[in-house]
Amino acid sequence: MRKKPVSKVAIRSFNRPVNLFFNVLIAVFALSCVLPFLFVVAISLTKETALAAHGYSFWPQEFSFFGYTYLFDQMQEKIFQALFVTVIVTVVGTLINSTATSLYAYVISRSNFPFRRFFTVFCLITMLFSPGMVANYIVTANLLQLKDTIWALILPMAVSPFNIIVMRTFFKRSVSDSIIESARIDGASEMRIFIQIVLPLAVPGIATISLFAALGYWNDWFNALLYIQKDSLVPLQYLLMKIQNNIQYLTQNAGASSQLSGGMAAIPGESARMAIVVISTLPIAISYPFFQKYFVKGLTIGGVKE
Amino acid sequence: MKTWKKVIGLSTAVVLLGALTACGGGSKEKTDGSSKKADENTLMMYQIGDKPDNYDALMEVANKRIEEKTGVKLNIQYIGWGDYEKKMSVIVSSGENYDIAFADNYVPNAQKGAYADLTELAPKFAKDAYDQLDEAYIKGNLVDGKLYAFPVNGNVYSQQVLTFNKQYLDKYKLSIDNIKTYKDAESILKTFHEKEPTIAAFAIGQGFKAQGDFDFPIGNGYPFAVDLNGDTKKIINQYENKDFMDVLKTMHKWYQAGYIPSDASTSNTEFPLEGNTWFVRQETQGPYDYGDTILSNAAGQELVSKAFTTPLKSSDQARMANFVVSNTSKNKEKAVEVLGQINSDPELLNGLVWGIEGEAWEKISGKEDKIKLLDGYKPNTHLPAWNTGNNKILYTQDSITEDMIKERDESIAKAETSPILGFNFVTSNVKTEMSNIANVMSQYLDGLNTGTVDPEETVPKLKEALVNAGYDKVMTEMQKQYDEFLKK
Repeated sequence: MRKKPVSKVAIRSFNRPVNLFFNVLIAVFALSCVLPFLFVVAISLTKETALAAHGYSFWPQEFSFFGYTYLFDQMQEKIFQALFVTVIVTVVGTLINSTATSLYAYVISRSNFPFRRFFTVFCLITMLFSPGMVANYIVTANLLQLKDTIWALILPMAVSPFNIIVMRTFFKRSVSDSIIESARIDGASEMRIFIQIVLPLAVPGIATISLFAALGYWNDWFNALLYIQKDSLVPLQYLLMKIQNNIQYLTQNAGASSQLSGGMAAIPGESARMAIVVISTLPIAISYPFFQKYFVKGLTIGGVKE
Repeated sequence: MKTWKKVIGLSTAVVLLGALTACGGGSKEKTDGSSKKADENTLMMYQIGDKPDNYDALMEVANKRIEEKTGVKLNIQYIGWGDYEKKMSVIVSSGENYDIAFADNYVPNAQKGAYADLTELAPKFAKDAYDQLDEAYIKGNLVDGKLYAFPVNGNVYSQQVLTFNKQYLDKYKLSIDNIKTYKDAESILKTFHEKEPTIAAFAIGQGFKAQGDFDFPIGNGYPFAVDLNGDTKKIINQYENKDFMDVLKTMHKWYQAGYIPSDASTSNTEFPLEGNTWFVRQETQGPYDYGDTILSNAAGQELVSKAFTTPLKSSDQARMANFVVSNTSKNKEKAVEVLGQINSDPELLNGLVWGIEGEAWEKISGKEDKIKLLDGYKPNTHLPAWNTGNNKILYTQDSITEDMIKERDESIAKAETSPILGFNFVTSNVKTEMSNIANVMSQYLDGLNTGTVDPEETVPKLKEALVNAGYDKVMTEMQKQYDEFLKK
């Protein structure tokens, strides 16, 4: 039998039919991720009456920017206020979160830190056992008195145990002890070692956890539900949830609607709601590509063995 | 590269510092200033709904009046319609300090001891308002023989009506005179559907419940009912009742004929009252709706309704808008006093429900308790009547005549009282079975009620699933508790 010449490329790739099959599979999956959002965009651009008459469709039956003009005319103040709150919370929150997380993770990744064990277990416990909503509420609202302040949106998510574990592994893998040792020999203090040696080596990891944190802050509405009463501190996602919840309440209590509607402020229609979804998703979707190059590297490195 | 990093580092520090000082300053001011005073002579009240746009102006007028009489002020915190349940359950279980709240999950929370016992406080500190309450309100709100709520005197009875869009009735010259049941509406639905196939003839969606002459001990989502036309001492499964079965069959027929939107069992689409996307809808009406007056006002167009159930004073109606005083409140007596005042002082209540006098409305001179609305009366600049206070002392618009008011009072006196008024089913023995039944019902409810599935095939399946879920045990327990309740 004649031997087939084998090239390096051939070893590292699938054969053609398999390749095609997987490509199609991934394409279908990717499409299924994008389609709902395209749908949302399409609905936000459809005329309200067309929605009632024809139902949803990917290509609007009748185009209308009413959803967006409604938002900018009627809810302008609310929307921009909420967007502002969300941005502030995301930026400040991400900074605090990534700082706290990487500091904690770095310390427990160093083998010569005496309380390493205790702090690792301490962190694991909070990750595995949740105290429940009421306990959280008592601490945040009654003990710390954070109700109706912007800190109620930031501090409850300031440290994430899961990210600490990811970062700990990351530090262990990507920063070898010898490099720290050599820095020590050159006379660097602990703080200097962390800032000038360890951090630059850990940029992909930090970018990854920052992205996690930023997404978490951007999408969070539950803390706002619990702790925020003031209109000026309502974040964008909560505003959306509020509208959605109100509509659900109304449709579920259809019998009482005539009595309720007297006190009910006008609810934005379907297209306006979808327009809010678009506005609230777009910024984070746009920022995603900028993180991506770190993201891939950062995520995989946590799981690779040397 | 280095300078780039320094810039980032520096700007991070600046942003952080700025945020810290800005927000820290804000919150500090708050704790120093208002909350200390708040504890002493401002009562905290949680209310369901949207905050009115002119809340500050409304409350300034109201608080002046409240402070004169009781020496305290009222601070109303609004929580959105859909969020109320979630948030209140956390507030209640965390034991947070508040004074008054719109009741949520009234009976379980009262049993847990979250609310102050008002059995003696209410007649003592809110005598006027308490005396004006219909007896059904007190009876319907007793939990283990004690009263924990101060109900809003309003629609003490209710009945189900089919509401028709008048413009379409006129356009196609349809008559609704003979409609007394669902079935009677069939012929005009047919005519309408032929003329306007794209408009929802019977506008219903997810959560719709077909109604009959029943009352439900634990809500109409469960298969436990009392047949008002049959033996009222027995709890039955309404899905085994012949009349109800006929209703479901009618629904299925309508669904197949296309009168009901084809996605009704899953759709959340609302059909706004003021829109023209619907022809018939189901509504609940009570005495203070003055026929179709309130409904037509809300819709901004003329609507006409036909009732198809008997007017009934039920527990649901009695608990429509309950206000409770928290057990954690330090000012329980003052809280009851304030509730009493809201429910008995016409000047205060009308200022809240109609808006600011002179701006949103004015009295018609020479006529008692009649008002005229001004241009300042806008949808979001006043509070809703049903969950604010005693509807009896509200001024009425000129369109509501003395005859209508007389009719209202007579109809209240005439309305039937539900045999299960005030009956609270204690579920502690049958918790597992109850959640099983809830699961079964969530599977079948929407399909059956909207007519999407054929009841002849599905109801036997439902019965079987219920038996597997432990229906008989719950039924026996409920009947036992009901017998005890009837003996008292």
